[in-house]
Amino acid sequence: MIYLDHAATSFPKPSAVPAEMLRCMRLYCGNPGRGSHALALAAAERIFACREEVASFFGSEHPERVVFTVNATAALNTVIKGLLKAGDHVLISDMEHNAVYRPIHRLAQEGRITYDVFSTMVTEEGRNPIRITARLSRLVRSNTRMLICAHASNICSAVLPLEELGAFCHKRGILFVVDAAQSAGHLPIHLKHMQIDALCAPGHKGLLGPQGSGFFLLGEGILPDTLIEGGSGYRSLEGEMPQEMPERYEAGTLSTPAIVGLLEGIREVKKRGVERIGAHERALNLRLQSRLECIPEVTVYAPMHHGSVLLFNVAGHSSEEVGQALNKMGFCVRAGFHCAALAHRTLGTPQSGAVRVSPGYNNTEVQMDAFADAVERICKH
Amino acid sequence: MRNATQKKEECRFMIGALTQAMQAQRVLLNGAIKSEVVGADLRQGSAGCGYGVTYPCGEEIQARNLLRKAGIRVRR
Repeated sequence: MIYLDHAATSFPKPSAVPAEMLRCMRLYCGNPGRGSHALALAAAERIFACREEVASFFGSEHPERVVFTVNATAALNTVIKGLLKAGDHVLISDMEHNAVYRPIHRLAQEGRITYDVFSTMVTEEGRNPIRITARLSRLVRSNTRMLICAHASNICSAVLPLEELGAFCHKRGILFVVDAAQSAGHLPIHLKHMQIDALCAPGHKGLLGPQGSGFFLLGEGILPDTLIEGGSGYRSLEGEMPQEMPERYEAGTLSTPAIVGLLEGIREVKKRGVERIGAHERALNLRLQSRLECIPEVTVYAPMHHGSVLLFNVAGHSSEEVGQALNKMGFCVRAGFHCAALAHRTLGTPQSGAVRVSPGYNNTEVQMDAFADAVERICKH
Repeated sequence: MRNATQKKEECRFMIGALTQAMQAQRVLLNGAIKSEVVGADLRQGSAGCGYGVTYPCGEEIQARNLLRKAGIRVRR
């Protein structure tokens, strides 16, 4: 079986990830922040080490601003709903995943906010950051409070210019929220240089951690309201959640095994080098793209060549049929709509969806060639 | 000003939440001051659970200075 669905989750994980998770569950998995016995503190020590690793990896000097969640969707919901107030206006990109689109849409349906979708121009000639921000500026209103964008698309190779968008937002006093689900561990991200107010990411994709790990990282002065309340292991006799970060946002028991797995995953990414990983994946993507574009029945949706996700369809077959045929031939890819209604609309694939190929750190050129051969065989039948 | 419970040669600062206490411990260890994270001394009138850090009683001034420079507040 050849795994080419790293945009859904990276697989297999580096051996240090499951090894540390198992070690944790066998040797030191007390409840962090609940009591001060040796095993509770041992778990807490590893969790703090992971906060430090996440913060430094993304250019922050504040590990206490790393808040662990179960996934990127939970992180985005907390940031979005915790920061927006009634009457706010929000800008989201036309490449957003439903993790952004749905909470924003719901808030708008309830009449609490309004929002506009801005064009990332991924299908247009002459696309550049200046043109994107020039268009964007026409959508800004006096009550525009937040701009949210995916750094890298989850369905194609589009990557958004975070530095320019961050500068755009801060010049206008707009909160800049980034969904790094498809870029964390694939592309360099620096909270300060990119002027990001809130960075949300899963642990189980490019950071090579386990499912059930995710986080958001807040810039200085950013203090969302809480989305859930409960035990925090601190100031237990009070009715309110504590103000201190990250305990304010981490009600309930954290998943220590998932977080220590994430710690090992990030260390593996650092060892390999995020630039090298990204370059390797993009090279595989381009190699496959050049092969698929030579097949007359295949349409490749590849507006840019910055990311490592490739989207295509085969004439005469639904995306699901192609996905199933590839599965029978030993390839794991994802067909359909990829929880990305806006992005598929932008690329012009909303009716049938498409097949997504997302190579990862451990795939090879030989595997990409074998995949292209398999698509050719499907086209001949 | 010392919020410490002397126990042999070990004193402790009450810090607050666990993550803050972990940060305080890092600061002290980086400053070559032996330190451990401990549960807070819960007295009547406290707001509930919390955490602190230990330090050698003879190094209180250095410990307090290191924490202040790091922006970590020592609570009573």
